[in-house]
Amino acid sequence: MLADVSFEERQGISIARVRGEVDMSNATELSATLQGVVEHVAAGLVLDFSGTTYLDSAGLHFVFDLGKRLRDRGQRLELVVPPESPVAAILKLVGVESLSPISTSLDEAVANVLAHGAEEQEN
Amino acid sequence: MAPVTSISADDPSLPGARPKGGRREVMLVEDSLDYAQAVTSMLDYGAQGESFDVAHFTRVGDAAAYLPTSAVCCVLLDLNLPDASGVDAVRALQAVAPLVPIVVLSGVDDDQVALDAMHEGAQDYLVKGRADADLITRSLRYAMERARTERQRMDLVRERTARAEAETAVSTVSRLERLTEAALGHLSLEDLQTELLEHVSEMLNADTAAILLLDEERGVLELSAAKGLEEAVKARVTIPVGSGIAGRIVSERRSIVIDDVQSADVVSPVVRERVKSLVGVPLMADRRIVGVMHVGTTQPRHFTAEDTVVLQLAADRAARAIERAQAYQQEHETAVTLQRSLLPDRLPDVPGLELAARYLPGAAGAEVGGDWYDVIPLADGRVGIAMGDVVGRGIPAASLMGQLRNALRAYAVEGHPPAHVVERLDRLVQTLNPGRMATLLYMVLEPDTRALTFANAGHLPPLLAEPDSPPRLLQGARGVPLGVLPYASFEDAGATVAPGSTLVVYTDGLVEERGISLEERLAELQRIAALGFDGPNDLCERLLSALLPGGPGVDDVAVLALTTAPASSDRLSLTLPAEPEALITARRALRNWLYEIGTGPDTLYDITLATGEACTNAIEHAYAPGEASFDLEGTYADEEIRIVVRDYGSWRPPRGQNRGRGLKLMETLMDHVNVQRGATGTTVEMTRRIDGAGDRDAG
Repeated sequence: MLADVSFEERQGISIARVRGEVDMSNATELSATLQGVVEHVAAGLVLDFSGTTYLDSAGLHFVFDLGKRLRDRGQRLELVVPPESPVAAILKLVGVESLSPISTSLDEAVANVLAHGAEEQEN
Repeated sequence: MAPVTSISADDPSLPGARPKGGRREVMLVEDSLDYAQAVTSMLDYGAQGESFDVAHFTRVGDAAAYLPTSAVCCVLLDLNLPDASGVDAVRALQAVAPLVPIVVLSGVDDDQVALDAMHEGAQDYLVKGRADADLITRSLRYAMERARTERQRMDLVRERTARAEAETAVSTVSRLERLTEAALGHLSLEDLQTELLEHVSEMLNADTAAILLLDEERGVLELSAAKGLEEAVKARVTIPVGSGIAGRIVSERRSIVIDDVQSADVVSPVVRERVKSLVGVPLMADRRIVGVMHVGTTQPRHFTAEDTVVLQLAADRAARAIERAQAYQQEHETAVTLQRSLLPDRLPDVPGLELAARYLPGAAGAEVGGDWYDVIPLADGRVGIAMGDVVGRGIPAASLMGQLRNALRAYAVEGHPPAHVVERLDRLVQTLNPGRMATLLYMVLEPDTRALTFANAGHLPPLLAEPDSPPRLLQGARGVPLGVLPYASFEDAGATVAPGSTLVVYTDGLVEERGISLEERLAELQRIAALGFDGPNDLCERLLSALLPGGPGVDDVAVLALTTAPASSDRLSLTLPAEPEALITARRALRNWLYEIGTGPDTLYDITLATGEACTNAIEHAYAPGEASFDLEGTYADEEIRIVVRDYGSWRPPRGQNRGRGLKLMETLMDHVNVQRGATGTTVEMTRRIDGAGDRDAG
């Protein structure tokens, strides 16, 4: 497997870090790995692309799909993409932000998800 | 004359009888007093449940005077004595006491001397320093036991036959005597059987002879070797236990004589056609049947009771030797299989690198060693290269080698720097295999940038041959071998190698030679590499033929060479299997090529992604009977990169919003994209301008 996924939790928010390269040879496997996590996500999921070095259309499909699945459950998918990341340009190009907001750091992403959760509760 | 030292010389024992306390007397003829004292103590202390009284002499003359009237049951004889040289000593003692068996215990390790001693009547030939208490005791006991059975047989022969027949029998006995452990012990199973058949057919004046070995699991006898019945061996004749003559010999555990083969129950058609009369005996080692040996004639003959006894005596000796040869062969085969299974079948394809390796097993008959190597593709196009040597031989060495190889792969793909990988393996050896030792060189090369990092645990230094400078050894990062020091620490050393450089890693079998210093041999290695070569494969050949003109010595030899891509080329051309995994190879090759041209990182990423999309489509749509493939071509001219991806299938119309994204990406990332769908396949042609060699992104 080209990519490696690790999980952690911060303040009730699930964080998945994807390191390596994502293409059609591993996107399906990646999607299956995250499916289990999505089902247990409480507040929302942060997908951290800081260590991702390559992402093709199969990888983009995976991001869109994951975003939609979480939205259908009333949850939020926040992406972490540092500006210098090689995958930053492609994610902006295909308009991922319309579905899943992009933060430039993990702290920012966690804060965004927490704020979003608070908003939901107020409403 | 009284012996020099004697523990029981006063005993008024009769020849051949056991003296009081059950200890038998052994004569030791040995002029080195220190060694004699050691052997005397060893025999007096005993081994294998028996100890001996020792009568020691330093001169053959004194020994010969004492021997005839003594109770000595066996003689341990040194060959270089003050008053007799070489095998003369054997002859002198045989002349005065022909029935007392002699075992030579000599410092001379020479097959010819050993054979000469055997011809003179010695029962066995042991080499000092290699013979321990167990071996000496066993040899003495076997010699005495053989002498005893032979004395009995000779008595029998004397009683029953006339003088002429007795003479024939004596010659048979002397042939039997040649079938000693020492004479047969070093032979392979195949040679051993050939030798045995030669002897027994000569002894019994027979036309045919055969050995069938028992396969206990299958309950059959397999014809293993034959004389005069060679076709039957080729036909792999097998006989079930219990049927046929050989099968009955095994099930009834006794010899069988057949005067008229035609009318008997014979399984093998070759035997039935050719053999008129035969005698067969079981091959038994310690009551365990290992097979059957039979001899036959092409003319009718009656095999006598004596013939059967002679064949059985030969069979008893043969069985032990066969059993040992089988055990050795099985262990050897297991070790060879294990070791070979741990070397890569083929080296992986690594874009930007050309690789070659050779493994030559050590001299025939030697046990397998622990040489191993591995090439491991890592993340981001880097590659790990390992060369190691486990100290020791046989199955233990091969199994440690297997552990190291698997562990190294696991640590390597986790991406640890070489020194950390080596350190973890050192801990592994300390924990799981205390007392064992291995050398290891592990390096990581990044083909894109040609950055090399390596750590060395007591292994020979790698050789680096760069195009514009003389070959040199990379002496850095030397640490102790694995398993030697608790908490040993290892360091990384680094180098950036020039495009078109060759690295060579190897084991000591390539450079170690008796009588020549390692420095000289390593200088020779550099000198041969400096003579020039055509790629890593050619260099491996040149090194082996120049450094080991006579083939490998006792040690195994492993050598692995790799060459980095030459300075930038204006063309990339690849044919890849239509499988998702091919995407990785395509990206690496493309990145290396774009990097060499001087494409900046952003442009490099865009072109790689667009090409990846075209390749993904080719893989999804390629259809063909058998193995489908696609082509990837890159050319660089007039500051423009042109990429062509060609498959041999047809593109399906885009399905769903995500399916069309690949083509959109290509169009966004490249200046021009042209897709041509034809009857035989689809060709994608794309171009992208770059601002000349150098970093376009910065410019």
